[in-house]
Amino acid sequence: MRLPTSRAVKSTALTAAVALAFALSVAPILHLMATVVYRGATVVVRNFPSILFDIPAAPGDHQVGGIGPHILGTALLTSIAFAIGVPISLLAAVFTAEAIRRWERMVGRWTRLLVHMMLEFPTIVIGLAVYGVMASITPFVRAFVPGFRPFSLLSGVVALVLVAAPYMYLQIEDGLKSVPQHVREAIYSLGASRFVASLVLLRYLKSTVYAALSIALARMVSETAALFFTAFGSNVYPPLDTDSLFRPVGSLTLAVYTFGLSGYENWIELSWAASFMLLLLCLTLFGLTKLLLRGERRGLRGLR
Amino acid sequence: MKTSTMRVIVAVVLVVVALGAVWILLQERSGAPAAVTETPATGTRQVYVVGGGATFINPQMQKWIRDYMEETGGRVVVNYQSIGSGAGEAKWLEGALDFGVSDIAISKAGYEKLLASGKKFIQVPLVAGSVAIVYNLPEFAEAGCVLRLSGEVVADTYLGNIIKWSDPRIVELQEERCRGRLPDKEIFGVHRSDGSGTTALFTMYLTLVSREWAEKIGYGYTVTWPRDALGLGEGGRGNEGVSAKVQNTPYSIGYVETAYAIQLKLPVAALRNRDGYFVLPNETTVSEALKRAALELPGPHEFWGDLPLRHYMNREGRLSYPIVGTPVAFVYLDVPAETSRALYDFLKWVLTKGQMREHLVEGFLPLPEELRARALQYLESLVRT
Repeated sequence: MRLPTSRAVKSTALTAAVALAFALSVAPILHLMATVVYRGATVVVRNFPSILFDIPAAPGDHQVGGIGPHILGTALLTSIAFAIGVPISLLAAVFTAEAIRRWERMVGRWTRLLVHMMLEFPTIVIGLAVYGVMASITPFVRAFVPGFRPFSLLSGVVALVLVAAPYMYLQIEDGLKSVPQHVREAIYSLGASRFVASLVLLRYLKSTVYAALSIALARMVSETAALFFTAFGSNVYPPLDTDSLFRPVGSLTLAVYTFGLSGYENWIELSWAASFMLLLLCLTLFGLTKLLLRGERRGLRGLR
Repeated sequence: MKTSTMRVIVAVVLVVVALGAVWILLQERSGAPAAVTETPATGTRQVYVVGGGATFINPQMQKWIRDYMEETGGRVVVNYQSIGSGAGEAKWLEGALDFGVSDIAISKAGYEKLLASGKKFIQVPLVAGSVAIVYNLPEFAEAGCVLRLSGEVVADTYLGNIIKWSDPRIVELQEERCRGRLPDKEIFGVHRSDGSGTTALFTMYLTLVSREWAEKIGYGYTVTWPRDALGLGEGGRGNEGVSAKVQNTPYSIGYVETAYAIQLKLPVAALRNRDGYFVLPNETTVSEALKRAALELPGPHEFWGDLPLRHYMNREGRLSYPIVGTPVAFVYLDVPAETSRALYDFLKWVLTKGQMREHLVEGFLPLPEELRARALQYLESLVRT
C-alpha cells in the first residue's frame, strides 16, 4: 500500500475545506427555506383552498381564516407596478444608452446619477416620500376625485415602481452599453432608424432584459417597508368600483409582518402561510427566468 | 425612419385618447354617489372607511370588523391597520384616515393643530383597558402567594430607591404567610423600549401617586428609566418583549396590557387602590374604576390627553383597580355624509353589540354601562350635523 503524498493530502484537505465552507454558507438559506416550507405548507394544506380566498379569522379563534385580501393586493400591486415600471425603465435605458446629441448625453448622465442615488435610498424612505406627496396633493385632487386617498393601491404602485425601476434601468442600460460597437454600426448601416435599431439591440440582449425584469418583479413581490404608508394594508376585500385604485390594499409581506408580531397562534399561522406563498412566488419567478434564459441561450447559439 | 416614428406617435396618441375616454366615463359613473346614499332602498353601493392607530386594540378591532361586516352584510367595509397610536393620530390629522385610534387620546400638540385648523371632530372611548404589573418570583409561585404592591412602592422601584425584594416597604404590604418568602435578591425592572400607550398609562399612574416621579420623570409614550442606570433594568420591545423578559428573568418585574398578562398566564400583582384595598385587574375592578369617570367625561371635542390621569386612575371605591384607560377613537364631523353615516353605524355597533362577550377577544373588557351611554350620546353628533 502506498501512502498518499503530501500534495494529495493537501488537495483533499482543501477540497474538504471548500466543501465545508460551501455547506456553511448554504445551510442558513436552506434552513430558512425548509422552515418556511414546513411551517407554512402545513397551514396552507390544512386550510386549502379557503386560505386563498377567506379573510383572516378573529385572533385567538380556532380557525385561521385566510389571506385572500393580501394575495389579491400583492397580485394587483405587482402587476400594475410591473406594467408601468417596465416600459419606463426600458425606454429610459434605451434613451440614455443610445444618446447621440449633446443634450441627450447630458440628460443621460443626470438620469444615471439620479438612479444611482435612488438605489441607495432605504425603501421606507421612498414609501414615506410617496405618502408625503400623496397626502399633500389630496385636498386638490379630491375636488375632482372625491374618493382619493393617500393610502391607496395607487400610492403602493408608485412606491413599487420607484423601488424596482432603477434596478431594471441600470441592468438594461449596462447591457446595452456592453453591446460591441460593430454590432451597432452593422444595424445602422442597414438603414435602420434609431427606434428600429433600439428594438434590434433589445432583442440581441433578450436574456439580460429577462433577468432584469424578473429580478425587479421579485423585488416588487417581496417589498415591505415601502408599502407601510402607501398600500397601507387591508384585512378585508375593498369594494370593486371606480374608486378601487384609491383605496388601501393588503400585501403578503405586510401580512407576514403584522400577523407575525401578534401574540395569537392562529394569526402567527397565517403569517407562516403568507411567507410560504411569498417563497413559492419568488421561487416560481426564479425558475421561470432560468428556463427562459436557457431557451434563449440555445437560440443565440444558432444566431452566432 | 419617418413612417415608423409616425406609427409610434399615432399609437401613443390613440392609447392616451382611449385611456382618457375610459377615465371620463368612470368619472361620470362615480359622479353621483350622494344620490345613491339618499335612497338607501337601492343603496347597494358599499361604503368604505379607513382607520388606523393603536396596536393594542388591533386584535379586538379586527374581530369587531369581521363580526360587524358579517352581521350587516358588508354594507360598510372597514379597514383598520395597527400603525401605532402616534402614527394613527398624525395620519388622521393629515387627512389620510377616516378615523384614528390612540391608547390615550389626541396629544397636546395634535389638539392644538386641530384647534388651529378649525376642523370639527369628536372622540369616543371604545373598550376598557388596564395595565397589569407582572412579576417573576419563584418563591411566591411555589407557595401560591400573590404579590401585593402599592403605587408608591412601584414608583420607588422604577426610580431605583428600592433595590431588593426584601425591602421592608415591600415586605409590610404582603400577607402574613408570604412575608418570609421574599428573597434577598435585587429587583430587575423591565419596561417598554418602544413608544407605547401602555408606558403612557403606566407613567401617568406613577406621576399621580409619586411626587418624586412626577418631578423627575413625568409621563409619555417613552420616558427615561432611572433604574436602567443602576444596571437593574432593561427595555423590551412591545408587550410580547416585556412579557418574555419577565418570564425568562427570575426576580424581575414589568408592566403589560392586562390582556397580554392573561393570555400568557403571567403572575399579576394586586395593587393597593386609593381606599387601601389590594385589587387585581379584571372586569369588575376595571369597570368599577371607569364607571366613576363617566359623569366627569369631558365633552367630545375637548382635550382628552390627560383624561386617564385626571379622571380614570386611582379612583375611590373598594373594588377600583388604579391603572385603567380607554383606547379612544377620533372622527371628523365635516366629512361627506356617506362617510360619517358609515362611521356612526360602525362605532355604534362597537359600543352596543360589540361590547358583548361573544364579540370581545379574550382579555379585552367591555366599557361600563355608564361610560358607554355617554359615548353613545357623543356619537349622535355624527348624524345630527
